[in-house]
Amino acid sequence: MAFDKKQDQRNSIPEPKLLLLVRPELAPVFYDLFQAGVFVHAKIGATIQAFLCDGLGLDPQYVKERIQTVFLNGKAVDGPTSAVIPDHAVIALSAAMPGLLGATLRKGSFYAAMRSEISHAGQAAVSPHEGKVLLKLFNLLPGEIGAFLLSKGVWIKGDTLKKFLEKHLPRLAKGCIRAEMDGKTSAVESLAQQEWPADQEVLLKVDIK
Amino acid sequence: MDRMLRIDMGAEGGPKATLTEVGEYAGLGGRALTSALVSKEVPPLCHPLGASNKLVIAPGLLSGTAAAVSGRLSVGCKSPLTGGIKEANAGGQPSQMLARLGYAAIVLEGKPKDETLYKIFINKDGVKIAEDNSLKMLGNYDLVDKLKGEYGDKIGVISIGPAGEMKMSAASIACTDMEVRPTRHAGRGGVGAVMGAKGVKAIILDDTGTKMRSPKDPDAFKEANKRWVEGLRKHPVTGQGLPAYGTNVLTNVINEAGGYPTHNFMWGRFEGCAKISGETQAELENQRGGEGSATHGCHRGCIIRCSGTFHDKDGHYVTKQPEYETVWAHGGNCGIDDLDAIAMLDRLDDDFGVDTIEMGATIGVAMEGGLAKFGDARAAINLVKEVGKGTPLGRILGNGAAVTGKVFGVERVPVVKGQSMPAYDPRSVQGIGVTYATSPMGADHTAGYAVATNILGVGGKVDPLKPEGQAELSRNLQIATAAIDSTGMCLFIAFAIMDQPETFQALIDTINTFYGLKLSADDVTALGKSVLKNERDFNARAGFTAAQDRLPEFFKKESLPPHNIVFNVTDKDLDTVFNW
Repeated sequence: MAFDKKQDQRNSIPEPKLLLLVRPELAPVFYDLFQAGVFVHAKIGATIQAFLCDGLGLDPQYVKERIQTVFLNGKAVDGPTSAVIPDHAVIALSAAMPGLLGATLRKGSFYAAMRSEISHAGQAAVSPHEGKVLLKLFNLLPGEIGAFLLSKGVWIKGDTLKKFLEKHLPRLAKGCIRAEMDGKTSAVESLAQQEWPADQEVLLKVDIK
Repeated sequence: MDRMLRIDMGAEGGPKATLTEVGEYAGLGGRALTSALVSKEVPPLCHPLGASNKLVIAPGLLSGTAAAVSGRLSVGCKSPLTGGIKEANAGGQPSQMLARLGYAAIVLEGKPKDETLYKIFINKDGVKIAEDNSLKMLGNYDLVDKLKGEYGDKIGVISIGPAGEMKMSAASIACTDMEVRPTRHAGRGGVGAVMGAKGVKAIILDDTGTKMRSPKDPDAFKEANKRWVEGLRKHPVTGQGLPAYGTNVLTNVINEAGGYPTHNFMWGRFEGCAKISGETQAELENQRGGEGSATHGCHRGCIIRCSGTFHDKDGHYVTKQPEYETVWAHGGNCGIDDLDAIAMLDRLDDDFGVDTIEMGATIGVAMEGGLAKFGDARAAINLVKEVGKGTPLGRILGNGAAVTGKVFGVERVPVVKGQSMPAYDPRSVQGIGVTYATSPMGADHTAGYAVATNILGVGGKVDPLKPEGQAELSRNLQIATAAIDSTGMCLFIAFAIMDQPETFQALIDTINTFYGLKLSADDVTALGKSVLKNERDFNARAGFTAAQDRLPEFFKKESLPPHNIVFNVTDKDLDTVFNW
């Protein structure tokens, strides 16, 4: 999913809001979304560490111990406390990974020299302002923090949401207790059938009963 | 494990089995044993498919014991794919069974005078070698079913499929898993072709009536193994990530790093990666096969359980959970984002008995050569079926990416020493490119995999945040890997022993208490070095020079998107890897 640089202008248009209340067994279905990435609010110009702890509200201990691999725009980050988030950033997070590469890509890895070509280097200062980043979660992280983020709300492109609803419709129909689109109760089936503007972001909030 | 079974397949009057003491190979297991024997006994200039080559099948030092995850089986010979020394290893049941039967190794020697096919049955009472031409050209699945009908379902089988019989350079040797399915393969380097050249279709093992191997100090061994198990279970990779998602959990992360070779190493990212990732695969497997289908061990005593079972949409068994390398080779590398198609390709590879990495890389080269379009899963399946049938095209493909590239005039052929590269582009992670280039095995991700060099302390300290030191890191990784390959331990233990020094100590204690030794980390390092020295010595005598320790030219010329980088480790640096 490419980051849409025109999104800032479109933010003035009221965004569609989809609220879902689902049974616990449906939770893993939504983890699918985190692989491709969801948009979340972020302070541009802040550090990755600040984004994770202050922005997303994650426990610093969890960030230190569990989030072992961090990518900023495809580059492996060794210092989350110094790496600064630029505009239109893509941030990917993972728990510890297997394989030599898994070990090599970890933050501050003993083997970081092996991937120096794709290590995140410092960048020019960015003036602080509010924005969004594309956040991807891999490995164990969707299961551990995905539900928390979904309850706070994430933004997804309309075409991505439509594909997601179509792909998982049978399970969604079974596990969804209530669906509300812009304040009006909707059937999941009709949500999957409706047209979603491809390039518009939709706010998705999911509560697990 | 104090004896070796040598079988002269070319003896007068038919194959002749001889039991010998382990002699000068005492104290060696797995790769240490196969490489020592091949280096000493196989003429380096012999033809890999000739009578002078030997196929050595050796359990690891701790196989057949109660030590957890100790069931890797090493297979060694002169490789028909690389022309150099080869050790390929596999999980499954045979390593544990062979060790319990008391064999440090089976050595197949000589060559039958005709095309007769043999099966070898080994149990506690001895060895029986029989002609059985009814097994000719059977796929591994049908073969194992037939053997189960004859010998019962408590057996373990080491076998070759049609590719091995046709002596293809991509041919693998299959080992059966806990369900007696031929899903675990010593895949690399064409070891299956050597078994085929020896005229052996299958080795059937029955360890009924044998006992687990006894440690010298049972109480201390039990205590050390307990610490060993606890260490593996508490680590997030071996205790959580691998059991939940298997090795394919790497797909998303390598793709994000821009190091996921796509369309025959043209790009570093694959658009359809989320459709074939470990997370998606595990969810699909659990959905189709029931919760827990994505978590399964490949042999008794495995507590990591990184495998799983792949069912089709109707719930029928297709194959074991395809591993990361397989999903990449047949998936992103060929532009295929359909897990069902990839699982079918994995099944065909296992059945025909070919290496999934070599086969996927070969199909990628074939696609670039115009035989099919990238992304065409049906065409990929048909190409692999050509291999199984042994058509002229299939014979070309079955001999690997290097041969296929030559036949179809493709320049971008991702091989080193004739062996295909696995699923990490060396331009994005250049340290792994150093290992690809310099390993005696040819391009092999597992050659420098044991990420425990910090614990072992081999080769001094390298500043992890400086770009220098690629050669030194690669050397240390290759040493550590060679040592672990000799224990019979699964390489995935590397993560737990890297992060938890007490778990590394538990491993050393497990070996020491079993054998009554006092090994130190230095001894483990010395073992790894000696293995590599044997292997490099063999390759040198086979005619290898520094010129073979190189990546293909395109890695230095073609930049890899999205980071647009080329491989820039100098030849001079590559030549320092084995300066010790």
